[in-house]
Amino acid sequence: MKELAEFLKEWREDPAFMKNVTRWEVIPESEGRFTPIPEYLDPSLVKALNERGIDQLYSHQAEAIEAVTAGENTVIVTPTASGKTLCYNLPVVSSMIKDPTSRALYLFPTKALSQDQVAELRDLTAGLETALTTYTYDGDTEPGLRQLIRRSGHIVVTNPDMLHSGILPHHTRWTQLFHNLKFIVIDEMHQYRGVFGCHVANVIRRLKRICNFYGSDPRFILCSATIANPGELAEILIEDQVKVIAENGSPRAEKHFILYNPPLVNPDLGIRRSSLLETRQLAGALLAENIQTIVFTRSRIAVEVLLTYLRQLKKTRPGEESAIRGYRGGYLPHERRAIESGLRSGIIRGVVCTNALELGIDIGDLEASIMTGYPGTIASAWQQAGRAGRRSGESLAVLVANSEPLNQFIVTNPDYFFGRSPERAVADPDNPVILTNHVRCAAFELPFRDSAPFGKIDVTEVLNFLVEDNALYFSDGCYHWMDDTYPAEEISLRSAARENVVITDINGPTPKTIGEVDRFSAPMLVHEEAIYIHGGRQYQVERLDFDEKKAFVRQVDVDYFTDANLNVNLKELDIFAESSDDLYCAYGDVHLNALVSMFKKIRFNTHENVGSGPVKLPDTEMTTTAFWLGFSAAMLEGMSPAEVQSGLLGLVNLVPQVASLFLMNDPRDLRAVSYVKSPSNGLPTLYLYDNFPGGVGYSAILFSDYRNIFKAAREAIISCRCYEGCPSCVGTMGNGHEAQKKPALRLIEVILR
Amino acid sequence: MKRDIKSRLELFRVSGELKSGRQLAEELEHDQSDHLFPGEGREAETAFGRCYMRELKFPLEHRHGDRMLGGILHCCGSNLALPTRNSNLESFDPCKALFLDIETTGLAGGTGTWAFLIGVGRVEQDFFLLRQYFLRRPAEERAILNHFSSLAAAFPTLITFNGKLFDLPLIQTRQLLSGFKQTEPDLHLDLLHCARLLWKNRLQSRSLRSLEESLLGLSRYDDISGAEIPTVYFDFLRRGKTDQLKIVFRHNVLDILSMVTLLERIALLGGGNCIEHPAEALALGRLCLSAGRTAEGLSYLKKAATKNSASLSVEASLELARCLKREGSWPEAVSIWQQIVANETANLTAYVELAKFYEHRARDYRPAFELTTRALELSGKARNQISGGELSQVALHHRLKRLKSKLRKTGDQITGSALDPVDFNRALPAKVITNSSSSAPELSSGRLSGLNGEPAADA
Repeated sequence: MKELAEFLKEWREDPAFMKNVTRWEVIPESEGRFTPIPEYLDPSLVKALNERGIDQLYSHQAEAIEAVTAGENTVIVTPTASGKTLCYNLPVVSSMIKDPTSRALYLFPTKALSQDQVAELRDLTAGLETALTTYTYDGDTEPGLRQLIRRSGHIVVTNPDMLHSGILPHHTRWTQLFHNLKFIVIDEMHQYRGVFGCHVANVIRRLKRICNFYGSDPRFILCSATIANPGELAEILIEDQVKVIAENGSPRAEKHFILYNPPLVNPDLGIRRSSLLETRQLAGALLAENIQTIVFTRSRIAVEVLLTYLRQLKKTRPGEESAIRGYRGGYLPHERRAIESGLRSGIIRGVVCTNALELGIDIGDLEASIMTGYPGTIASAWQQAGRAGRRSGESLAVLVANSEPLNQFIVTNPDYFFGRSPERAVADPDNPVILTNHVRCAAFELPFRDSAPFGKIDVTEVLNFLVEDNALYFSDGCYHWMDDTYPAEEISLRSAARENVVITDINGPTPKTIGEVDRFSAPMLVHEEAIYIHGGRQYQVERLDFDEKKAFVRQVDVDYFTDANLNVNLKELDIFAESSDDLYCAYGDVHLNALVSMFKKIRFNTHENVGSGPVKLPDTEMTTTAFWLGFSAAMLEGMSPAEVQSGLLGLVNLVPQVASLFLMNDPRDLRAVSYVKSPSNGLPTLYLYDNFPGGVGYSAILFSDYRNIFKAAREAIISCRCYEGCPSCVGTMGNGHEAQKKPALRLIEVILR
Repeated sequence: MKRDIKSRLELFRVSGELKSGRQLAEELEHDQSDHLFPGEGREAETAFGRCYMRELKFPLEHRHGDRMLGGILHCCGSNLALPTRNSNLESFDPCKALFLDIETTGLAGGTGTWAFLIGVGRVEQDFFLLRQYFLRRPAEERAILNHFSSLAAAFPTLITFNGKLFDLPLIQTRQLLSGFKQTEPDLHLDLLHCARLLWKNRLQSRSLRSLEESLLGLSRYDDISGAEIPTVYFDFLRRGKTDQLKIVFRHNVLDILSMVTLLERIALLGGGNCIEHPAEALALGRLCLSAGRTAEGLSYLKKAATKNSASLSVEASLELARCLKREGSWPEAVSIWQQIVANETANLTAYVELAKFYEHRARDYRPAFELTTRALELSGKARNQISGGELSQVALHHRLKRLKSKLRKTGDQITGSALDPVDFNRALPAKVITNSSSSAPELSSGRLSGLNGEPAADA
């Protein structure tokens, strides 16, 4: 068996391997900075730490404890495995020992993380003289236990969804908690961005309102993965000043980070060798040397496929349990616990998982981490890479790219990845749709006094709207909830729009829901006869009931996919800000009208057109925010209208993808549409719009920061090795259309001039 | 275009020709609710402002359904302790009880639901006095709650229908939001709980409406369904409509009066009177057993078991046998199970109980094996499978397997895997029959032939 170091040396000396490596970054070991445990922590807690072998703290832990103890709202930005849980557990527990009536609320984005936290907290508080109780409170909590938790849980661990629909609307049952609430801990803060972030910011406004009613004024402790704007996001979420602690004091061993680009197999289409097959080879080689490895994939189905491959490479004796396991949503809790402890003890040598294992669940320190495809954000990639990393001895992380534009951009422009993070987490708590829905919930919880703000925003207009909508009743200077519904039930924090189309598989004996698409995308993705691809399987849509928001599908196996022809009409409604030197840019409200009239069947690989059909669906409408760029005729001198059109189409394909590097959006959340002559301003115009009613806040950032995004777009085009444009950069039109690569590049030059 | 309309509307609004919902609501505040019930409604002054209430006086001879309200004066605590399973009710005094029923702006619960009508009733001298606090506008809530709270504090016992889950918590939430002490009665008698215990087997539904129709001789006409009530109140608040509101007041009155006669009915049953249906005897039998009143319980169960209602009598017999078994009266218990089996019931319990008896007590594995086989066969035919416990298929298979190996050890070969006809009389060992002092199993061979010859489902 080889050690990892020896193994890496062989890779380095293997030209066949190295020709696919676009960057081999060695992150040097660092010693870490240590501080004595602060004296103001309760002695019994210090004793408990000593018993666990902790005699000193990392510098960032001590800084965090000091800030929290001084009463500051604090956000801690640190990488995986830097002991961040102690940053909040120590000040919280210490303060509770001194005053056992005080309470804390912990928010985690998932239930699995909550479970893990509770175990850790119980371990820390077990030996203390003061009995402190910690409970999870979520959909899985036994009804018999709920009353006890409401009355006497010191630390209640839950998720934003449960807070929104189960706790806040019933706050009178939680008087003990809200009366004595001293700390609110929000972990994995960077996940609260985009639509989810808009919702969570409003849930926090509601939470603060309730605390105020019961006379408490809790401090916030937030933790985040590395992003460009932790302080900004924290202040958006809690609407208060925050101290940022970002200097990591934990020691780390040497880490090798390899960006790996599989070889091109079809340069015209930009298609590369499958990242899954490349991963099989790399992970297989590591496992053959018994190097403990975690492999991340992008889907549940990929977990199973890769698991089968890897087990074939490493045969087990009959009756022996394989040392390679899968881990994903859908596995039972006890299976998961067994795999986690097997990884910690080292019995399990390899695990193939979805991002379910990306977050803080304790699985010990592994030697190697392989990512099959870029996980969507740099922050996620570092979290996944951080799963390998030991206190001593080096570790390895490999990112195996696929053909998608963002993957290609990352591996061919590694400085974005290894430099200062460009990723800004964006959320707009004042999105009118989301805001109004949460004002409903808030009014249900407590009446609004006339002219009382919600968070920091004046919501008089919203309240009056709700009065006229007969949800609220204004009397004696107060807006009262006066309706027989339970508003929190109707609002989901996770789904983009309130009205999603539910996709049901009617193949089996019992119909099964397999997914949802938002109302605006439904005509494009699940029109009748569309091939809907989900979890690597193809389904044909048999019936779309657009009024009932239901699509019925059946699994099929065909050699084509469908592409719907979408006509988007965009109208500018209101301009919030504009600037026009030569280039005209602006952002504001727009109205979109989308009509799908027909679809084409396109054969895999060859991309030939093998059929088409009409789509008879009503058009969908949406009011949202957009950012747009208009080109004056003088700026485009020398370009034919056809060239301008292809250039714009190229940017429509590329820019939303590249933008997600800066906005951390799912590429589907930001869409683009272009006009050679915009009906609103008459210029050739590129519009980038938030694919969510009311907007999520992307357009304001784009307005101030578009140059960086177009610079990155330029690099994406230049570094792509295709000739005229391929799906990995500006897309391809094929069939005799103009090449898009050059005109797109020219437009970018104009923008950046 | 859109903007134009908006600005034009603004002009109308300024000139007062167009009113917003808010303005309309403000105008309604000087409303006419005082004239809702002339002569019955009045205003009361509290430390938190004025509140509106309506009072009705019913003579105790007033007939509600087929009973008189005065009947509750004869409700004694000893009769209530049994059907409420609460021995604290021994000291119950009908004159110190407050009946409560509220009408709300929704059924979802949570802090956004209001109690706009709080109805309370109590016996006062020769009358039943019913008071309805009505929320004319949200601002009067504190006055109402204040008035109600001090009244409620004077009564040690609260009587409601589903009030443990709904009415009282909702009132308490409103009190907390208004900064008042919460009403905490010494005793809270929730009649829905009693109804569930007493009439589970007799009635399809235990809603107050269905209890009224089947037990209290009352059918309502021109009533309003609970789901429509919030809208009626919103129409009053937002548009000043009062016609439907009167129906809601009446609905609330009827609910409270029905609680009065229902309470009497429950007390009568608790004293062993007025048993109209074997299901009531069964329910009382169970209640007695769980209260430790065994002799009484057995006599109720025997009554229920002999009445002619097939499934009910089986249930009562099983309950009786379970109780006899617990007391160690095996022969009687066995005899009951055997009768049930002989009647070819689809209920598996008797088969399993008998099989257990033969296996562990009589140590006669052959009949135990046959009974288990038969139980499995029945279970295979059943539409709904029992998923857990000793009646589940898994447990039955397990028992059968164990019995098979015991039979093998004792040298009793199972030839043809229990497919052969079985002499059931042989399956009843002599020692049991002789042991049973009085009642030898009454099994006719004609009945038994049905047991033989059918293949076992899965041996």
